[in-house]
Amino acid sequence: MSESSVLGELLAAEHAAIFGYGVIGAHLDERRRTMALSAFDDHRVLRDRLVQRMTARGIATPGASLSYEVPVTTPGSAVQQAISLETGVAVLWHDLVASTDNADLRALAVHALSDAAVRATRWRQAGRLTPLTTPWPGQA
Amino acid sequence: MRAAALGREQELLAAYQSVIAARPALAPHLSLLAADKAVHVAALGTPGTATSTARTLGQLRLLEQSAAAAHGAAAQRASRNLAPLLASLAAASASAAAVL
Repeated sequence: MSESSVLGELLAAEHAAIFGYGVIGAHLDERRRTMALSAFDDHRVLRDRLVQRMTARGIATPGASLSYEVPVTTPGSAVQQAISLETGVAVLWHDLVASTDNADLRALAVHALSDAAVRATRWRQAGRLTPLTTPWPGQA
Repeated sequence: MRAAALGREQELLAAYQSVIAARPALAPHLSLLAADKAVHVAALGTPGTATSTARTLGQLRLLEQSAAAAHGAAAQRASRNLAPLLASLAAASASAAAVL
């Protein structure tokens, strides 16, 4: 997969994660809502960093869709959706590591993959789900 | 870089085993994290021998944080073939450190 196509997929996934965390947070108690708000902020920062780098490369940066399907109806499904979002973006950040030799993009991808894996782990912990970790974060 | 990554994972696995031996009550929690390290060691190559003097969760956490930084730094310099594996190892160690 080319660097530019992975960047495009990542931007779409970060848009979806930002929207998703708005829905997820609305279904959680205060402590876990704080986790969702923190993750929401993290994904906004990542979106902005992606837009900056894509713009510098002349790659189109589509905006977010008006709406996304977020299958959340209960606190439990909200936690599952958060894990799913983080697992999904981790795969794409992992793909970017494999798709670029650019030092700046590689560094961004390595850090973003770790951050996504840590958030997924903390969501599993918040949902009392085991195992808390996976041996190969980011691998599909 | 691959050999260095194997060395770090072997050291982590030995540290988990050392802490579990010192504090058996932690085994249910730590065994799952140690299992990830065993998977890493098996994937990276022929395991050698490693020992550890780690005895506490704090020491384990520091080792995981150190491994996350080292794997991550290596992933930034590695070839496209090796970098994803190292980045995944960095993420695994960061995740483990978050729950220790």
